[in-house]
Amino acid sequence: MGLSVFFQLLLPGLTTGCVYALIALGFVLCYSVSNVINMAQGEFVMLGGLLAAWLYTKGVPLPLAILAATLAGALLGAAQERLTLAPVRRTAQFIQITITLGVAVILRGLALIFFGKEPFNLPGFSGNGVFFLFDAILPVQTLWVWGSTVLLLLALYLFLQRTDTGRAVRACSINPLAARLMGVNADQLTLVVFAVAGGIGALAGAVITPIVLANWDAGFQYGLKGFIGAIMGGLRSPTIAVVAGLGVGAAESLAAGYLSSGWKDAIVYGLLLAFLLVRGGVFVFGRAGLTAGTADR
Amino acid sequence: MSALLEIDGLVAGYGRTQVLHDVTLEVRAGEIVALIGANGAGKSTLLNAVMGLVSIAAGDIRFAGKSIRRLPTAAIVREGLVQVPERRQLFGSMTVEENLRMGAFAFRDRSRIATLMEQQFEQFPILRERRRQSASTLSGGEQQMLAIARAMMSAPRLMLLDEPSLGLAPLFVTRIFDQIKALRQNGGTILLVEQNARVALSIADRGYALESGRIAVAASAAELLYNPHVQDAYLGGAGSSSRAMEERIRAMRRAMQANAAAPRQSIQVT
Amino acid sequence: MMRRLGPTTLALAAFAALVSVYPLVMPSSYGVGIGITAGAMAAGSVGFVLLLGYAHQLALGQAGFCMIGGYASAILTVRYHWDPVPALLAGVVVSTAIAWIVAVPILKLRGFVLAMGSLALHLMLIVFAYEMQPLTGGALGTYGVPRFALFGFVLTTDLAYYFVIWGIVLLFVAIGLNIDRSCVGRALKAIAVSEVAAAAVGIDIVRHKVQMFVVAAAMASVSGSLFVHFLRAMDPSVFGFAFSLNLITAVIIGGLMSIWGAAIGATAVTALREGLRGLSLPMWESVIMGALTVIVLLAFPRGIAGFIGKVFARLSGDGSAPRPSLIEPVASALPPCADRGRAGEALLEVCAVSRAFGSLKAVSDVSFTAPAGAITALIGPNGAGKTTLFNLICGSQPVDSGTVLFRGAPIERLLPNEIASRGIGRTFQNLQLFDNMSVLDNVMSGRHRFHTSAVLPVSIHTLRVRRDEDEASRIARECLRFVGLRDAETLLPGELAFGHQRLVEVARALALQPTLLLMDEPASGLNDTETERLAGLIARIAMLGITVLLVEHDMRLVMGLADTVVVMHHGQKIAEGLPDRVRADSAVIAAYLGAEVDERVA
Repeated sequence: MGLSVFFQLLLPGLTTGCVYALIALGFVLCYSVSNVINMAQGEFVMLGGLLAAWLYTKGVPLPLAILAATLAGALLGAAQERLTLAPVRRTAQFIQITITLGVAVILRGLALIFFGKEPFNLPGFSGNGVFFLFDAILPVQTLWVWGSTVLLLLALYLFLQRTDTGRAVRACSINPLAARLMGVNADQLTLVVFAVAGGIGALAGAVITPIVLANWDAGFQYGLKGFIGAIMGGLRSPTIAVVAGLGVGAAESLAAGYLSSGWKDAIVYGLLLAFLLVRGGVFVFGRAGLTAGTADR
Repeated sequence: MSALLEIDGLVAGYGRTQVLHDVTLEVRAGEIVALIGANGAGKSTLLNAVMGLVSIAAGDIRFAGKSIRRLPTAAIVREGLVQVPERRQLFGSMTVEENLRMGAFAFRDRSRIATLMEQQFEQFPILRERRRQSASTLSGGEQQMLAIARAMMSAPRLMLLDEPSLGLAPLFVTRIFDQIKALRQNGGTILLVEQNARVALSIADRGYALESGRIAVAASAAELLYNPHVQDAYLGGAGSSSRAMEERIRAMRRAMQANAAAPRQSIQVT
Repeated sequence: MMRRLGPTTLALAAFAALVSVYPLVMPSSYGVGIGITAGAMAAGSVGFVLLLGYAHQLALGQAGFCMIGGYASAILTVRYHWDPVPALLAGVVVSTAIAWIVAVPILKLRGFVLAMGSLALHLMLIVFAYEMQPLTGGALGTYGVPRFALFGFVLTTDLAYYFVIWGIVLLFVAIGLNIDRSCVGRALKAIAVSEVAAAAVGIDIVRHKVQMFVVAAAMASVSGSLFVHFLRAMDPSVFGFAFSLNLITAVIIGGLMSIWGAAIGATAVTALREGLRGLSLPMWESVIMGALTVIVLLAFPRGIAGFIGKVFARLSGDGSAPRPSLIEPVASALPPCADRGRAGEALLEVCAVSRAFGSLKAVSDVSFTAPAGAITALIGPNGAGKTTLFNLICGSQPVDSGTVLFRGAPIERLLPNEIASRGIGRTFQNLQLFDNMSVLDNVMSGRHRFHTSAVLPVSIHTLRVRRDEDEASRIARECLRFVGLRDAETLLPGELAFGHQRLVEVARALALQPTLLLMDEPASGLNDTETERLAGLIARIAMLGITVLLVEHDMRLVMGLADTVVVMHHGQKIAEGLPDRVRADSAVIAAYLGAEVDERVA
């Protein structure tokens, strides 16, 4: 009996965890080429869901609506990089991050104005039925979420490992100087990465909408929880980011079920805080971590 | 033989400091040219300037007659110039094979990449053995080979080698320089920057000695090898022009010490 | 201090005038209410600019401390009938404690983590506020909060409260300005440009970041309390994430490095919000705030305060910029070095020190001594390990084995700023000046280890702090005269020629009154004339009794100046002794010119 409750909580948690995992991956990707934490990452997820749902209500066929939303996410990501980050590439990191925060706020505000306060819905991609797994009842859309997450992760893996551009992205994050000497254009790559992260976020948002509904407000929480996943991997390890993102989803759902839904957020944020406190208390980054001025050669 | 690479009156540096002051040199096709000099003389800066990484204040750089001074690095690589940077600068967490692929980044022709990679494995069999290993697990000598192989993946016409002997045990130094000689055998042209002047001059055709951002001596390798000025450039010595400054500094210090010893002098202490 | 009186008095006068005039212009209770809101926010943003603008910490959860202050005031006055001022102070105490506990471990981590940590804290506090109903009143919150009272006098009118709040803002601005003009302000600006150089003058980086986090938390708490006594109620929705965003926007609009700017920005944000509400466009608030943040950071990074400052400069500019020149150095303008070693003492002993990176032995069992009062040079070909060894001595890298003794005490496990505090100064090969402050401030920052840098005395600019500043300024000028640089004080380092910049760095190291001066390739980038001048300067530094250890490639300098030369090759010491002996040593010659690998010429 207890076990079926467990799975009833765990599996949906893993499902939202898929979104967090993809967001975490977006953070890691953008950070690896630009050293910037893109605070608007969660908003792309929100916009993807809203845009797809809105297009659907206007009569656009479902697959087209999702495609359009994904492309819009990619374009937005590219625009954000080109317009708000590329011009200030040489300024301090905290200023660039604050700019992404501004962009996030703008996107949120615009979503509220254009889409309104009411949440939007999308039908399940293959209907609104349910299925059983380990004694838990899950909407069929869950399979779409899991499936598309696996596909996206696979696609990203292949991109990074097998394509020239993907290799160039990795090279840039490993050794920017050497990458430059090979003819890699870091500026162009940053644009590509931001576009990819935006597109992935938007797609994730569209796919999860049939389960959790799309709402102008959702980006903030998505972004924050995805970030927790990213930071557990030190913002460098994509694998840990994905696993941690799934973990956050699971922890959140289990906490809501076993403790109370009011406290679930506190548990998740408390985990982040505890993680940071322990890292800071146990490891002193002091010695190797001092930054030098830009008078560097 | 015509000059493949011509550097003409180059003035370049980082930010507000100019490191190179009016440097002129040339490399002809099929040669190994050595650029020697003490540290801080500007040797690496010169190589970086050729690759488009350093801002150029005056002068020109021409490759096969065409000015490359304003080209971006990717374009320079496509023209046929490549640099093997100081301390290798490999992509440590990538495999040997991936490092080689990155070397061909400026060219996207699939078939060419396969052929070129095969050539590198012929030249450096040890790399074939380790092709799927991560670059950071290779020994120093193997890493240097990989760095050179990676550069060869862009089928360059001229290779800039920055201190290949740096951080290598003497045994590996011999091997690497044998490889460099072999590269010339196969028709390559090399501009070799080295602090280890003896080794560099022993395989080079001609050499330039760089001192404080200027060419101090230009001669055939043989002449340079036995030129006392070269030794002076590194360590200073009797008969060198910089000995005069050294003497002045010493004299000044002695005078100060003598003054301080004299009891009459009163020093104002605020 | 004197030279700054002009703009500050003007700013003060403008402030007093605007604050007094405003209620005349907008006498309605609505108008005064806005004035109160702006003031309460300004109190929070003045603290926040210290955290965001000076310490570069984008604390996303700053409103959390406003919450603590607000709830402390509300709960203590309503439930336990405390007076407002003790309740406010209780909130400050709680905020400060929590801030300190959270900041100390987190700020040791690299990067963006404090921002997210503070947000996590804030969101947790919101959950607590909702869930802990008996204490906080849950979603409905606590209401019936009394009006603010000062020393038992209840402020029955909004107008009186308005003036009290802006009085508090003025107090906070004064504290902020005091911090800005003290060694702490310099330390923060230094950290922003170059942490290595900041550590090299003895600045404890984590400590100062923590300080600003705590100060900002305290001021935010006060801000929260002030709000609550106006709203007369407190619930979890008052200080949400949107409020943190408003603080961020306020500071950015006002100008990231301006204390006055923070107050201006808070006023601007409040006015903007009210304006939008008046136009029935409250939904556009976040879009406009976000857009303003992005646009200001992209195009007008210095904000409103920067703009005002520029207008000022143009109006009062006298056109003639100082032109720095070199003078004959004043021989002994400096006080004698604080603690010179005894003659013959082995001031610095490097004992069997090793450091490896993976399989590469960068430094392998190296030992040598730098005797007191002497000039010791460390040379060797590229890749010999000199730089690594230098870093091990300076504390920027840990040793694997062996020990480094300074005056007999081991220093190899100390952090760079601790080493600097012991009287070891250094200069950098690639010049690490603080280009966001004047030349004089740069040199004054070298005095850091002699100043008290605790927040309390600095905030109120005690007599001791004032004396420290005067003395620092005087000694800094002497150091500049000693290195022979005149008329450069008010310029920014970027406006000086490279050779002059090098001199400033030496002056900064001298201001530390070091017993040992470590110089990393000081002649790098200098021409012949400048090199000879530098030699003279180093010789005069040695005459002061300061021990010098220099890493250098320029043989004229090394052979001319050094009493002892230590040669490294492949991580090991291969020679040590008098210059002429070392230069004739065959092992040294082989190291530089190359071993006899192949005599054949191809």
